[in-house]
Amino acid sequence: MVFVAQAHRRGIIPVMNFPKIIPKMMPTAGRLGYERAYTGIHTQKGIVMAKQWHARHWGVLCLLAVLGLALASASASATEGGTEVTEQQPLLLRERLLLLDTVSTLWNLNVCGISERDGSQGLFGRIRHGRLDPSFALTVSVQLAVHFQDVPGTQYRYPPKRERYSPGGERFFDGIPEEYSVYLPFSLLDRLSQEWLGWPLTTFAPADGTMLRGEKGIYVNREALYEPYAPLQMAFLGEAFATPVRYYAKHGQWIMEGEVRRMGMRDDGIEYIADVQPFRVRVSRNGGRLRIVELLFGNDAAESSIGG
Amino acid sequence: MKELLASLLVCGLVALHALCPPSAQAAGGPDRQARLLMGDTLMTLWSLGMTESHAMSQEELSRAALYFALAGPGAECGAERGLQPEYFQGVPEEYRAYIPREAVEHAAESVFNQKLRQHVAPVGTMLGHRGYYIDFQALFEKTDYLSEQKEDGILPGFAEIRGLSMEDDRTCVIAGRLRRFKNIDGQEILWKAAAFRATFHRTGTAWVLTAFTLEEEAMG
Repeated sequence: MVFVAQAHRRGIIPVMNFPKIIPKMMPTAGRLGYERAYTGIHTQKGIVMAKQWHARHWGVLCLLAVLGLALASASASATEGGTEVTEQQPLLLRERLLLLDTVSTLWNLNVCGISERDGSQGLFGRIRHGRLDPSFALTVSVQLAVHFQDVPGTQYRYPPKRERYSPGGERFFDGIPEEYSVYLPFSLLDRLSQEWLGWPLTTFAPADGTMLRGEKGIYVNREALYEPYAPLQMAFLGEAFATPVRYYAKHGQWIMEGEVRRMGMRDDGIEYIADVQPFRVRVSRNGGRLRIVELLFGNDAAESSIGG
Repeated sequence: MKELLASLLVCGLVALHALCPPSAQAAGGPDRQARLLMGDTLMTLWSLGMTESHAMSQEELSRAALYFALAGPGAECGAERGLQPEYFQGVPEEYRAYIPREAVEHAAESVFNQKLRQHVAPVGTMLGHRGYYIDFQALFEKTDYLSEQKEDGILPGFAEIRGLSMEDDRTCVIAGRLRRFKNIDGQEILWKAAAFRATFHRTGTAWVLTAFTLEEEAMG
């Protein structure tokens, strides 16, 4: 069910059918819990039906449960908090917030874009034959993981750092050159890639600043990792943000257009926006996650925008 | 046959446990999605002009909760006249949207941690049997609702969570800063800022705001 306000929150400009007053009057809004709890109502019928069915066909149900569990393990996030997320469903608030956060973070990582077309120089994710360039996905995941090492209270598993490893952690760095100070398990990198880009890591070819040793993880030379990308602006992470202008559906995918901003400090001590760029991101739903199929910044985004 | 099925079931459970990544909820803290929602909620409270959690009258609670239901994810359960005219039979033309009472009640509990016992329709809305009908023009223009905040409330801005601590397995305290920027003479500068501190309590899979303070910074 599409409702007027969902397209207007955070200043999103409506594409069709929405009163023009709303985007001007609606400030940023949102809250917790409602979405999942409310839409959970729709699952009650299914629960009742399942109970009736269970009484008659428990054996078949067990088999289906096993198959279901196997499928669930392959796409553990097909449901979020009990809410079934379908391909046709509008972007939910939490999805929009995640997408905005992803866009601003990738911009901070100096990602130039993601596209099926040839991109500009720099850290660009090319999609070929339905697959995202694995070295790009790996590089982004490594950078995210290294960043989260320094974020207190992160939800991500804290990867071992040479200077911090706990007793018993020495094994991670046995025989590893001194400049490789971080160890990242592939499971963590794959999780980051799936959560932020919506793409699994299909191969683990070493990227710049990394060293592959063994089958379970990768070692990182932080300085070398950032060098080719001129460099990763770690200090900026958390100091950029994205705001939406509009979003709409097209060919079963969702497109969000907006602006990314990076803050700076003037000589007189006043915080200001040092850089602002338009962005355009196109996503599809894949197993409950949003998969980025195109991400453009700057002129590329402006030229592709329906408002441009 | 039953033993085989039971074995398969156990194997499936083991596989599920092994393959699923550890979640933040398992660790007790809010995950990325929850943190973003927390920040977004505080931005909205700031836009509404609220500075601290307090016990509200039913009228005040109705209005504030209705706003969250309209602007937040609850809106996805409402209806729009142009798309779902069946919700608007016999309702005057100026009412363009509908939102169920349950959505407002849920917003009252999940955002303000208060029970909405009596619905009181704010100016610009009409309370029907099952929900609120919204006249946006009246709600936002003919009343002072959001009047002070409505211009600043749409400026680009964001919530930065600078600190997060868990008081216990289900209680999380966050602190940080809210900012909005405004274009002055061709350059976007910091226009408004506020420090926040908020406590959220996890109920099931949701984090409910139980207390907050917003302290606006004096701008030069």
